[in-house]
Parts: sequence; C-alpha cells; structure tokens
Amino acid sequence: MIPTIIVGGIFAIIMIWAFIHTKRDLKSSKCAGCSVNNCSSRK
Amino acid sequence: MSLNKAKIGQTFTIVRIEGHEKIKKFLFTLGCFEGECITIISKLAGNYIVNIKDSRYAIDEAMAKSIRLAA
Amino acid sequence: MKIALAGNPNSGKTTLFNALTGKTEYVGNWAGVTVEKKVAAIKHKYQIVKEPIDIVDLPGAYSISPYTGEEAITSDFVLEAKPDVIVNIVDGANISRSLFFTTQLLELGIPVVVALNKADILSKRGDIVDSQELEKALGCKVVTITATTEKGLEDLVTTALDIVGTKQEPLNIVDLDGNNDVARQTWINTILEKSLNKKHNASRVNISDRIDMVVAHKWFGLPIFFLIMWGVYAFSIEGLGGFLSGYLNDVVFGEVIPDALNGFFEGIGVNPLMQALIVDGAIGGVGAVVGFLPLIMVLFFCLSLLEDSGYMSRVAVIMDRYFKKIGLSGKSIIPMIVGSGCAIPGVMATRTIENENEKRMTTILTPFVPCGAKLPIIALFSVVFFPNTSWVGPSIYIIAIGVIIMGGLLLKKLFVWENSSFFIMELPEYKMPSIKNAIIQMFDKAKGFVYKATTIILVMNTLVWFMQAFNWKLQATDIQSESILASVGSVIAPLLIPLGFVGWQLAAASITGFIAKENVVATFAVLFAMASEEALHVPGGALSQMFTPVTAYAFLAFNLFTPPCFAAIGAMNAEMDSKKWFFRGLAFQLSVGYILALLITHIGTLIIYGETAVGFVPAIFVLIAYAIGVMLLIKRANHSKTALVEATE
Repeated sequence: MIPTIIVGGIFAIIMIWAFIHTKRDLKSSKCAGCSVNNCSSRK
Repeated sequence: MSLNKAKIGQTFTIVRIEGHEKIKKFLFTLGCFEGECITIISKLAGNYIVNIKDSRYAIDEAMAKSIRLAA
Repeated sequence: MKIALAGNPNSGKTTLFNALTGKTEYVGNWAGVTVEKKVAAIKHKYQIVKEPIDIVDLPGAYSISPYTGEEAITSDFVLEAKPDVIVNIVDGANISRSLFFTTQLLELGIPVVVALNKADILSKRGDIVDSQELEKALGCKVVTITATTEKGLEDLVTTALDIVGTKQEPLNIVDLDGNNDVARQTWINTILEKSLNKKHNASRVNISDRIDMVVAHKWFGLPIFFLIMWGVYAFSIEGLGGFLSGYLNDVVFGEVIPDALNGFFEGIGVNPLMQALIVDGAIGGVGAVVGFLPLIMVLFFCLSLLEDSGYMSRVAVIMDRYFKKIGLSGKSIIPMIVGSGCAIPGVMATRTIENENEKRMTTILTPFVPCGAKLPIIALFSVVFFPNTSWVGPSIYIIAIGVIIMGGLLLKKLFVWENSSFFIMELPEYKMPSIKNAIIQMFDKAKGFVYKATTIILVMNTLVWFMQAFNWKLQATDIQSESILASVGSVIAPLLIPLGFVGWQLAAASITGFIAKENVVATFAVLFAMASEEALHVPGGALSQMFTPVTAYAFLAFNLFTPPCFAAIGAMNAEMDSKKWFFRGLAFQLSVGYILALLITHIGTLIIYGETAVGFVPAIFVLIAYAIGVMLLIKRANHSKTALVEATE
C-alpha cells in the first residue's frame, strides 16, 4: 500500500509538471520541436 | 530588346522596366533600373540567372520580358 | 534598451542575433528565412552597461518602403517601436545594394551604426573597404564584423551603446526632396568609388555559377534534387538514424528499462495497476517515441547542412517551371522543404509569397510533406511490415510530391483566381555548410523532441492508458474492448471501414495523432503492450494483427496525409487569414488522406492479393460520391471563372 502511494505520488508530481507545461505551450501555440516565436503579432 | 532575347554572358545597360509599378519599385531597390548594368550569367531550367550590382538572381521568363536592354 | 538589427535579407542579421543573445534561431542561407521579429536579451558577456539590453532581429528588407510582407514588418517596427539604436547590417558581399536601405535608415533620426558583415568574404575576394571614408560619407560609425566567427562584436556593441541618445543627422544628398530614389543610388555609386576598392568582378562566371549549371540544369536538376533528398531521408530513416533507433527501441526501451522497472516495482510491492500505468502507459508510450530520437537528430543535422549551403534557392529555381503548371512559383518549394523538419515554421515561411492565393495554396500543401514528428510512424511501420527493405521512407516522399502536384492541380481547378505571380529569387553564393551550426540545430531539435515527449506525449499517453484500462463505470477491466477508449474509438471506426481499417484501436490512434503525430506510435505502444507480450518494433510484431502490409501502408498514408497536428493547424489558420480558406484547406487535407488510403487499400489488395479487402463495397460508394462532389465543385468553379471573364470584358 505505502509503496504504491509513494510511487503514485512521485508519478503524480511528474504528471502535473508535464501537464502544466503542455498547457502553457498550447496557450502560446509552441510546439516543442520548433523554437519559433509565434505569430499573433501580425501587423 | 528585352532580356529574354539578349545574348547570354553579356553585360547590358537597362533602358526601361515594364510592368507593374510594384515590380518596378522592387527591382529598383535591388539596383535594377534605367542606366544600371545587368549581366546575364546563364539560362537554367527556364529561368535567367542575372547579376545586378554584386548579387545573383534567378528571374522567370515573364520578368525577363519586362526588362528592356540597350542593344 | 532596444537595439534593432535591420538589413538586407541574408545579410547575417539572425547569425548576429544568435551570437549576441546566445539563442539558436533558425538561420538558412537564402533570402526569406526570418519572417517575423524576434526579441531576446543580450548575452551576459556583452551586457556591459547597467541597463538591460534587448536585441530585436527583424526580417530582411531591401528598402523601407515595403514591397514584401517581411519588409512591412521591418518598416513598421523601425517607424513605430522606435528602437534606441539601429544596427544596420550591411552585407559585405553586396555593399552597393545594402547601402540603399542604409540611406533610408539614416533619415529616421534614430542613431545608426553600420555593421559591415562578412568581412571574411570581402578579404577572400580581395576587395578593400575604407571604413573611415565610408564613415565620413554616411555620417555614422562603421564597424567591420564577421558574425559567423563573432569577430568585431564587442567593438560593435560598444559603438552602439556609445551613440544611444545622440541624434542621427540625415544624409546630405542632392535632389532628395522629391524623395528621388535615383538620386540615392547615384550618391551611393559616388561614395563607393572613393571608399570601395573592388578587385572582384561580380559579373564574371564563378564557381557558384558552375555548380549551378549542373545543379539547376534543365534535365539533371530535378533528378539531382530527388537524389539528394532521397539520400538525406534514407540516411536518417534506414541508415545511421534507423540503426541507432533500432537499438534504442528494441534494447533500451524494449527490454532494459521495462524489465528493470517491473522488477523494481514488484520488489517493493507496488499495486499492479499503478505499475502498469507507469511501465506500460507512461514509459511504454513515451519510450516508443523517444526511441526514434536518433532518427530525428540525423535528419535535422542533414537538413541543416543542406540549408546552410545555399542550395535551397537553387531548388526554387529548379522547381519553378513545374510549380508554374499548378499555379505556383518556385518560391513555394521553400516552405515545403522547411516543412520537412516541422510544418509550423514551414507554414510560416509562406509569408515570403506575395500573391495571396499562391500563399494560401502553399499553406495547404506544405503539411503534406512529412515532418519530423511523422518519422516515428514511418519508421515503425517500415520495421514491422517491411523489414529489411529501404523503400518505405523515400516512397512516402515521392507520394508527398505526387500529392502536392495533384493537390495543386485540383486546388487550381476548384478555386477561382488569376495567375499573376512573378518569380525572382536571390541566389546567394554557395558556402561550406557549418558543421557547428548543424550540430547546434541537431541538439536544439533533440531537446525539443524530448521535451515534447515528456510533456504533451506523456500526458496524452497516460490519458490513453487510463482510457483503455478502465470502463465507463471506472472499474479496471482486462477486456480492452469494454474500455472508455474502445467506445470513443468505435464512434469513428465505422468511418474507417471503407479504408479497410477494422478496429477501434486504429481510430483511437489516428485521433491521438492530431495532438502530436508521434502519438500514433505511442498509442499503439500502450494498446498493444496490454494485449500482447511481443514488442512493438519487431518485424511481424503486435501490429500485424491489425493490418496486412497493404492496409498498413494505407494506414501510414492516412495518418501522413491528413491535416497535421493541432499546433500546425493553428499555424495554418493564422497564415490563411480567412476562415473560409482555413476550412477549405482542412477539408481538402482530410479528403486527400482519406481517398489516398482508400485507393491504396483496395487497389493494392486487389493487385497484390487478388482479393477484395474489407470495406470494398462502402469504398466504391464513397469513391463515387467523392468523384461526383469534386466534379460538381469544378463545374461551379468554371462557371465562376467564365462569369469573371465576362464581367471584365
């Protein structure tokens, strides 16, 4: 039981980190493979 | 005569550029306008390779027709 | 404090930007690489004053009166954002042309320092510039630099900071009140006579020209281009990249890591479900994708070398006459080649195309070129269904070219417009591609790839694992077909029957592919890890239950030629600037992928196995409906075209 909780906890932390970064990237429409600054500044 | 009829390998003086105002002005900023020199380096794959000032450009048939050169 | 970098296209602005800021922005040896402004803080070693300095990289411009989209960005920025200093990068390879823009920049009242770049080329040519004379004539400082070797940069930064706050006096050129540009050019010629001692005769045929005569040859040009691209992809997918990937996938992610983790978890007594979530779900999925990292790295390394050499503009020349037949110009090939790395910068590169319709068409067609994210799918299917062959990867690119041509012809027939493009492409001199640059790019992309795997792919994967391990009552289930994922997939699955694809798993995998194409591989890894013990990446592996080699190839085509990932779709939307066109583009891409897969499955199965594939009858109906639909659209377009002609007569 305890090991499951510990491992689960660590995994959860990693997942939350991944999720936050994914959300952040989706918002600024950045796809990790490209370091392109995005284009909503179309004048 | 227009560029597409001119001899390859020669340098010519530009007499006139015909066509859209936009294209004329763009070519101007490259140094392609009346009185300037243009050299025809070669013709490759249907395009003309020319030298204007110190750079090479590839231009298509339509563009070549609109550049008039001194014979 | 803002320092703006302005100058002709391909003069070295982005190279200088990278050197000053430590960034790794995309540098390519052709005009039109940078399509939007980029800002970054100056590197620590150049931050020699208290106030933080930002460097702004602008797209190349030949003049301040914009004739192209990129020139407009530069013009707007310089006129509105009012940088503190303008560093005008003058291309040492063409000083005369560069100075035209310089004379205009000097009239803005903003302090300007001229950075005379490519000093190495100047000295190689034997041309000598009298900087003092030039400074006197221009009324501003001139600093000689070589951005690629970072020579002269300290001097440049110091000079730039020195002139902050001073007022730039405009040039005293005769006849300039009528905004007479000819006067400018004449004045430039005059001052160059004094300050430039030219030994180099630009109008003489040189080595670059001789190479061009071979590479852009009327008959040889295209085959040479195909050979080069085939070489790059074969080397990446089947050669070195494939070899290393094979090892990573089979050994590291196939045995070593799962065995170790499973042993560890069992040893400490972790709940089996949690164990499965981590090992089969998270690691399994992410590992299946990360295993292809070597492939991606080799590909980007090769592409970087290719793009740095200057060959790309020649490709535009070669492709021009073929592209003219589908209503585009040779310029459109560049977004496509950029797109073979990632479709997003590819789509953004369409900004260099002035004609709105050509630009839109190119934007729709560019994602058909397989991007880096699609490589894992190609490699996976290649290994499982066509082991020991090397034709799968290159064949996809040949199909891509075919799709682009046919697609282009179809688009031209469907949508009404007049063809008014002109083609002019600057051909920079060839240069020895920088290995250093290629390595930097390679690691940059690798970093991005791993980052992508550990964020969006990890998140998706865990979600997928969860959805296939649990049913709607949130109970863990061993029977995959009762899971949440199965029911979601089953909704779409009927649509795939005409393509010969049976199974909710395929629908599910394709859907996840829209979030990131690599997910197709990851999702399969998760789904089949649970269902079978065999590894994914072996010939005849778990996937063979779902496909015949023919339908496998069709599935590959389906995922490769449908709309790209959401991020790229977003980029498409931004570039289209018109919802109508955006949806047309999407519909077009969807139909291409669908029909292509349909044709491959049914014609392929008939030819190779001599029998009809699953879903043959519905396929016939779909095909007929599609053909009728297309013909109706073409008819309507012709109608509009004649109406247009009549209206203008």
